[in-house]
Amino acid sequence: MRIKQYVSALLIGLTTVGLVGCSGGADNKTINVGAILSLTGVLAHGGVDARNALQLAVEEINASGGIKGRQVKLLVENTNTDPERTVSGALKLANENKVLAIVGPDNSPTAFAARSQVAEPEHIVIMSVTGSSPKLTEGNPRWFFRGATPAEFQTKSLVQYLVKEKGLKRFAILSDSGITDQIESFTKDLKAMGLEPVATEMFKSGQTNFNGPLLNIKSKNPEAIFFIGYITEGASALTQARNLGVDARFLGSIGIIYDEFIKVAGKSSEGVIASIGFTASNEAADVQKFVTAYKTKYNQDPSHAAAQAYDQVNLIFQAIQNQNLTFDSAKVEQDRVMIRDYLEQVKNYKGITSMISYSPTDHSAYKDVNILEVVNGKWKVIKHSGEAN
Amino acid sequence: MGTIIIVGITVGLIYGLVAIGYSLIWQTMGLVHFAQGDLLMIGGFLVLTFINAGFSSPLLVCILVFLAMGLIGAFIEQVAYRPIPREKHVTRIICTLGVGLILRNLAVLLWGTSSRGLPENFFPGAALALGEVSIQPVYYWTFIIGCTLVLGLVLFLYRTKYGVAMRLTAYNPALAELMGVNSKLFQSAAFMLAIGITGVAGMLISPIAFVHYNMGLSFGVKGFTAAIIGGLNSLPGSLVGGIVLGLSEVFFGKYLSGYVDVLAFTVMILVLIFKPRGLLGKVEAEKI
Repeated sequence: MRIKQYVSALLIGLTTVGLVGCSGGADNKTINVGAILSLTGVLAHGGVDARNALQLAVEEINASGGIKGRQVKLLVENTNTDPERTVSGALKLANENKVLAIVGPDNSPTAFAARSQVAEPEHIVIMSVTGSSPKLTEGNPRWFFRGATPAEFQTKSLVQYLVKEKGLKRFAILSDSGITDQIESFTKDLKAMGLEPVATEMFKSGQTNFNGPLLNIKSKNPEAIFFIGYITEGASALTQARNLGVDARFLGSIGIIYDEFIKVAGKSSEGVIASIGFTASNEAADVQKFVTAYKTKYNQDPSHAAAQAYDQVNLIFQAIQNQNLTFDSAKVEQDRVMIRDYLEQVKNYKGITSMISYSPTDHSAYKDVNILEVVNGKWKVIKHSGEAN
Repeated sequence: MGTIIIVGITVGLIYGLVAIGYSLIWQTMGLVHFAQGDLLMIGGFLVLTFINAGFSSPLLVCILVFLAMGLIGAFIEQVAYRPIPREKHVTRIICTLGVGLILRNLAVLLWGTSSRGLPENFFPGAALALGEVSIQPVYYWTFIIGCTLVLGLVLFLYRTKYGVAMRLTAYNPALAELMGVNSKLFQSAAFMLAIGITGVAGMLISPIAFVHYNMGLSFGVKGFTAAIIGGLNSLPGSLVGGIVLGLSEVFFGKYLSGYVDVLAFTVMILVLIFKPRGLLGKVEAEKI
């Protein structure tokens, strides 16, 4: 019994020392930037993509000498696409690791949590890499920045394209019941064209049997079905729809605009149309430079989550470069204010995703989108942003 | 209406297979095996592994998955459940939750976090036309394989002496020992059988729902619900429960898609209120 007690005491002692020793990473020589992303979870493909892009950006800047002679260190916390873990990860980065700013997270529910429980109360900049709910930037947040296209701009371009150029009139909506903002946005855009959705069906995240809602949609005979949700559900719904003889074209929302979707859904993904700012097939020179660098390092094309993360973190680097930071971990609050102030003055930053501008009253960036279609197993731009309808 | 019935029965058959697993394990081991859903997931991934290894015949893959899952079941039973005495009910249940957790994380390590589906045309054949309803191959193959499995199980349990021995072990292990039946052996065998069946269910669901490491939860709960609706004590009941659940899901999904789960569980509650032992559950009386 004595030995057991000694061993236990020793283990507890070592663990405590280990924990104390490990916490806090603000070394006065490095610049700490944090990230809260889904390395596992429903949005793992997006989160891992974003993390890869962040690592790439950090390597690029460190290779060119760092910022003001200091090397940048990236600290990543896994959210598992879960709001509670997002908050705890962000708090750890802010309070223990004393990061200057945080990139992430990667969907609206986790972004809401990060905004209201970390960014605004702790006064630290958090820039989300995706997250389309318009409500994320309502109410004039001063610390939370959106790094993705809000839903209302995604759906507007999509609806205008389909109605004006393709002449479609009958649209159905099949949506994850946890993501209501896109339904509102899409319906509003249809109404602006004088149309109403012929059916609006809901399902729950993780649902595997879509036959019921699809049968109802089938009976209303739509020409297109706007699917709002994530990849697995999208692929299941698409496959089940085709099995039921529902031939209507599938429209995607941001949740499925990943190469992963094409991989999972296979041939049935041909012809799916969606709208987004970034796509790897965009021929512009700066986009291709990023795509090539990403592909060389990670052996796959970057998704929009990666591109948006890359733009966000580069903006943060610019803020650090151009402001007079103290780089003193005891004065990190002052440094964070300077970063936030810089970001709010950004005008027409040419990112690889789109032109980014922020202001003290507008923390939502990306407003122009491209229309994409899955052609021959790849997402292809069929209409560039800014082109007239 | 025809499509609702066909799709509902097919999906229900899959829930029924998971429910049969629950029922079989409950009856022979007195354990509610909450890792069923995660084992279905492992079955689904194993199918992909076998296909990638070059096996393309659905029947062959089915048999391989059944056998492989049976072996996995044997391992789990020996390592995780056998060491715990039967009376420690809570401990055993917590153990099943632990097994589920380990399986999920193992799946991430082995197969990653992305969802996978079966290759196109894994189930060969053309769509079958039945009146105005067109049935895709995946649905009728699921029906055929599912029914064959259930039939095989019934024949085994009621027409072979090993099946009789297994049923006796389920009914009363002490009595079985007196009759010369090695009750521990048959409990293990029943467990392996249950897991094998669950694995095949995983193969049947993967073309339409895609396999990913977290899919087990929803199937585990649905399978359990189906078993409760039909009666945990009754194997045919599990099948009936599964079909009732499948039909409810498709039917309610068509007319009130936002409330599918609420309505399906309401069905379960109603069944429990009016028939607490399940639709086909037997009332057991113990003579003191």
